Amino acid sequence: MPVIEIQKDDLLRLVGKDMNNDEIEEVMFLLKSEVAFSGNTMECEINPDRPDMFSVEGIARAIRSFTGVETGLRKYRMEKPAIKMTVEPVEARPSIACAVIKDVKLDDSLVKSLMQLQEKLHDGLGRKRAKVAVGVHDFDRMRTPIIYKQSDPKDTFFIPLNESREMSLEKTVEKTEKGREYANLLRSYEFWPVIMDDMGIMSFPPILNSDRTKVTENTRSLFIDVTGTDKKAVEFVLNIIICNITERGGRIFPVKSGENEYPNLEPREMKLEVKDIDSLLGLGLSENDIKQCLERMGYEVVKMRGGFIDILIPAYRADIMHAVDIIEDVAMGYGFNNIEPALPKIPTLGGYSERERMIEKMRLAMIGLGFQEFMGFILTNSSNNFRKMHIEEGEHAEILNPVSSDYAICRTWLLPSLMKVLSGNKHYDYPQTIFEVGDAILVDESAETGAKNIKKLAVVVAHDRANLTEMKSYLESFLGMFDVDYQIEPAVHSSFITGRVGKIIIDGKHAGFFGEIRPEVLDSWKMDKPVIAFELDLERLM
Amino acid sequence: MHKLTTEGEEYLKMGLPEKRLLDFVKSKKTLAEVSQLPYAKIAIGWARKHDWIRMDGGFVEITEKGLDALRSEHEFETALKKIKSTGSADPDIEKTLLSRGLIDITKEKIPEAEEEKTGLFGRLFSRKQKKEERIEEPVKAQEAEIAQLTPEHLISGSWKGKDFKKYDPTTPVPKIYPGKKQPYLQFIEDVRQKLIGLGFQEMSGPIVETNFWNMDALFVPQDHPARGVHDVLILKNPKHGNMPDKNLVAKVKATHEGGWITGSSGWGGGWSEDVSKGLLLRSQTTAVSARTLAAVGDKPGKYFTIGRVFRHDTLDFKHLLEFDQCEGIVVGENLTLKHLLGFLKELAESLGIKEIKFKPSYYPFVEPGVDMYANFKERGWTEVAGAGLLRPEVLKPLGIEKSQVLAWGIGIGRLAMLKLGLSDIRMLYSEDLKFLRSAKV
Repeated sequence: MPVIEIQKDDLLRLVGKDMNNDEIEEVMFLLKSEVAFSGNTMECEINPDRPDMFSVEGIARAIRSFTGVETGLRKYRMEKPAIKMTVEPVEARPSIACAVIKDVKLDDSLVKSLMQLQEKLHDGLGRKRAKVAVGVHDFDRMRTPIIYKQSDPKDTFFIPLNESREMSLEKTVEKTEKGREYANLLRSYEFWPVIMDDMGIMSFPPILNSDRTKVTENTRSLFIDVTGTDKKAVEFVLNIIICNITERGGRIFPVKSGENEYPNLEPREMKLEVKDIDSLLGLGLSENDIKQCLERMGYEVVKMRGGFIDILIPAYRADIMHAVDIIEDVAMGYGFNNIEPALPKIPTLGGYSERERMIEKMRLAMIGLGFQEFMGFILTNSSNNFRKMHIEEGEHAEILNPVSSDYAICRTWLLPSLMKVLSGNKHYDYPQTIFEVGDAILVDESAETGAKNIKKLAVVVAHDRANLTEMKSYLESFLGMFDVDYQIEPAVHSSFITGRVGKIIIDGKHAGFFGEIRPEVLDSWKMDKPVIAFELDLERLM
Repeated sequence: MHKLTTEGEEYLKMGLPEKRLLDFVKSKKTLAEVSQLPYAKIAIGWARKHDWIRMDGGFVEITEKGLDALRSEHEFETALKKIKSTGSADPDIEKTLLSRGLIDITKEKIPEAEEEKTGLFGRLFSRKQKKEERIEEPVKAQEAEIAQLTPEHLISGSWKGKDFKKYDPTTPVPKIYPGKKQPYLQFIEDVRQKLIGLGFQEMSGPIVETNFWNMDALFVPQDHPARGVHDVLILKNPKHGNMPDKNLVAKVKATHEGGWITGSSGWGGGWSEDVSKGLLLRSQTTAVSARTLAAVGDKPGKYFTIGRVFRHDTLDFKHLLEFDQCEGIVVGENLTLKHLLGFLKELAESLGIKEIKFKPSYYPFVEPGVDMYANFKERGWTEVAGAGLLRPEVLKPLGIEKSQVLAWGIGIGRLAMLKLGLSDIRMLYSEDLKFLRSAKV
């Protein structure tokens, strides 16, 4: 979840009302956000569905509405004339939306907030700049006409942000940190996107701005460019940035290219049905209650008639896909702390699955035999699962993107997990008797998902005189507790000493092994006590 | 054959000097204090050799190993007893004991101890007997006092008129480790029983799962970061699973792309069946809920599952690559947000949580979403559950026409840690036998 760092005094100035920490915390909680204070600094956890609250200005706007300082829809004025921009087809990033804000006071608070907003929008809605990327420029250092086009990376030069020398787009991608970080977004394209003005290249989305148009403390007018692969997301990101910056003042000048004029801050309309609201929330709210709730969440109610409510949705709300999204806001406007919980009346009989019941009986059986239960991880590596057990590497589920090579495959049996436990506990009292009932993952082409989880039981005993007789006694004692026909046959298994291993057959099918672990295996686990073990496929008992 | 020297006899009675030293330094002592002990020099020598004590800045302190040694019988002590009763012990230890002057070589023949019974139970019992012998004196042929009461005494009546040797019941004895449940599994079992008591049926599903059930059926957009290589564990082998019936796939596709008949705008862009077939280790048990909903439709019911899920995360005291999730659904007509909160409250009560509050929250497959916080004495307000009403974009394609579905998940690991007093999540799956053996039931 994105964590937004803001300054409390800045927030309260924007809210326009004094609040103590407890009051802020409570309001933020009801607005879906957890906050932590450290002096004047606040860290706010904002849910990813509310990118408009990824900066202090957006948070302040939400608090102003919720606490009644200023409720309802915000109005935005577009200044004239619109600034013209030519947009050519750009294969790598077909969508662009730009806008200009003049008379901005670019103090420290706004600079920090804008940088944070840009970064969080890149990460979330922007999908690490693949879907949307934002550039912010000093408009007074630009000279029209402005054009968005694609250009030859080898043959196009500019001075990237904070560099002193001119370089080609290709070199920029090689030589700069941001270039290397986002190069993969451009590599497959022959031509790369650039924004040019009369003085040359001013932006190389989604990598870097030009040094020439960089924003300084003297900047008074901002040019915002938003480019990407998804028109709707590009437009929302521009709207959020413009609406949030202008919470601090400034005049918005649209940027026009052909038919498109941005930003488009016209609210969207939606029709809600009162009965839908009630059937989802169960609060029995009147039309007027609903209106108040919606206004506390920044909406405008235009008309209420015959069980329908026409509303206007703010242009910065990127998360509204369905009426239910607004209905949730009705509940938030009402206050989750004001909702009286009611018990659902769905009479049902609870019950174990037969399978879980059986598994529990088997665990109890092992505990009755005096064994300590263990629960291990399914992720392992082929060294533990195969090599240290002296068996051939068999088919197994393998991870494409393991976090580490220690956890790169799914275990196909449980005995290695228990060997690892024994190996790590050599300094504790013997005998050590341990078992696990858990899942092994077996690749199986006939299974719906290409693999099956199989419940297995593995048992180990380690002490100075552990031997086959003892293990067989445990095994038979365990099996004897269940209604099962089994046979024991001599077997060969390379984890066990030859001639001291048996095979368990249940209903004519192979169900597991038992025996004395061979010294080579004990060596590979650095064990200095004899170990006896059995492993049983519990699916055969169910 | 060997017999004990006077010193050996003394050690057997009083304990080895190094063990007596351990008892003395259980609470930290100065070196000067320790030097006062008559056996100080030899005791320090052996205790250091075993790593039982630590000497630092003029102080002598017992180590972890020393504490363990104090609680159990040392092999030298075992050997001394054995030599006293049978005249022999492990040859290596005999050598050490000889060099310490605790035993002597003797020609005198001591009757052989009864041959150990063969076979498993013989061995098991004889192991146990040996342990029991640790506090008691061995049996002698012509005893004036009875040490171990035996069947022979009872059958022959020879115990009559004899005294029983008195033992000290305060003497430390060897530990017996009981068969015991894994502590986290025990907690999970308690929760399972409570959910069944609340009328829930248990459901289950595959661990290797398709994107379809883990993500797409839950309306998580295909370009969502939570589906990427930095969030989930994707399978290389096997790579693809089977898709469910075409009709369901078409509905999910249409819902993602343009909202289908759900009233939603959808995510826009394309939806790929190839992506949807891709396999991963399930990242949420909600995949199981989706499968259940597709199977039961509008039939009212309550279902839960407790199972393993996997994430691409760094392994530390707060994060694991795999952990267990507990979640469920309530299917029924006329269910509302009020009912969701009511149910969560009931769930909290059944888990013994008294003070709760609700926060609106966000999960991609629910709207409205809510988090439940509980107030714990030890750590204040803590998030314990996430819940919501499943979105129409999830319900309609799965064939839920008339019902609402309350979906909830409880932070079962966090609750277990609070209950077990753990601060490191890795301990829930601990491989430390000492921890497992000492956990309270």
